[in-house]
Amino acid sequence: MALFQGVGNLSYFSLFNPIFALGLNVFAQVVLFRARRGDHFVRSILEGCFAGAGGLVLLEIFGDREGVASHVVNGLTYGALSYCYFHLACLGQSSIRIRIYSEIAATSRGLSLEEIGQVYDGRALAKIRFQRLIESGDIIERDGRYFIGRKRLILVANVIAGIKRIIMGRKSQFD
Amino acid sequence: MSILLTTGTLLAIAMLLHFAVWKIRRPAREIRSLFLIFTGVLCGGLVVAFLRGVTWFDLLRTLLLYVPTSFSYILTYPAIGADSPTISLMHFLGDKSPDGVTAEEATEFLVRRPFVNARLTELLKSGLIVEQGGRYLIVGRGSLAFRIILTYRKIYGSIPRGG
Repeated sequence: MALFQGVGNLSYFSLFNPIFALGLNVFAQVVLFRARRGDHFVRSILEGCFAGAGGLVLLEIFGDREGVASHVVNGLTYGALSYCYFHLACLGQSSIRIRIYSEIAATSRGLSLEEIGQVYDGRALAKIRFQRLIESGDIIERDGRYFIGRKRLILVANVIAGIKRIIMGRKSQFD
Repeated sequence: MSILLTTGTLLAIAMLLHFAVWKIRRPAREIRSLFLIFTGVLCGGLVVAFLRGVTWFDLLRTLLLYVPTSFSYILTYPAIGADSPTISLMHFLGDKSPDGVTAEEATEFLVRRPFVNARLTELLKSGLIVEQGGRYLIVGRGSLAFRIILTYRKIYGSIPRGG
């Protein structure tokens, strides 16, 4: 269709392959997470990402005839979109800032520091985060002591610490 | 390939500007400043594209790569600026290996760090909440971004309180 003709063999539809793939990613992730009744959040994120990637590959194979560069651009675009979605989902799942904000927004009178502290007590926060890490296998228990299980979060922690040193000049905000 | 080079160049310019501004003086509203920097660079790129007669197709393609990549960094930035309890705990365990830690030691480590107070301070600094008479209140109609995230979160089901 001339209306959608882009450049050469490519139509404007092909530009949106990464967005269609993202749609498949989101759909798969939400369905899997709900089917597991709220368990295995990270696994559902990864599975959704792979589902979307599979969709993108099919769209690229059976869609317009593109050069390698176009496939790379679409792949990178899908990767960036998936990463943005991962953050959106994680922020709703575990961001303290957003949760505190929602607690304050839920009341017209606002909240005092004590009232916030009753809900977001340091020990309760520690217990919930600790439990989550044990369930995901990132922490393992042996003879009453806890150790690193999977190394994936250590890698993330080291990357973030490195970037923090470059931008902030320190390893921790509490230093 | 030109799309990759163009997008890469725009992102590099935005990051250099970001580092330069942060070195001179870290803005009070960091996320808003990042949005301004990345949007400003994009607008500059669009002006250059129009002057050079770039096709709509290439323009859209560059936009579709630049915008989510920029958002990727802006969404990651809070994790760089503020310590995450989960990541901090993993660092702590890494420092204590191979001996490991008890549950009480891990809990004490997290309790000693004022994560909740730090988040409250950030919300105050960013102008999203205000403190009046010892109580914290939402400013204006509230943050659109936060409302979007919380609305989307409802698709998953209820959110357990406390962390």
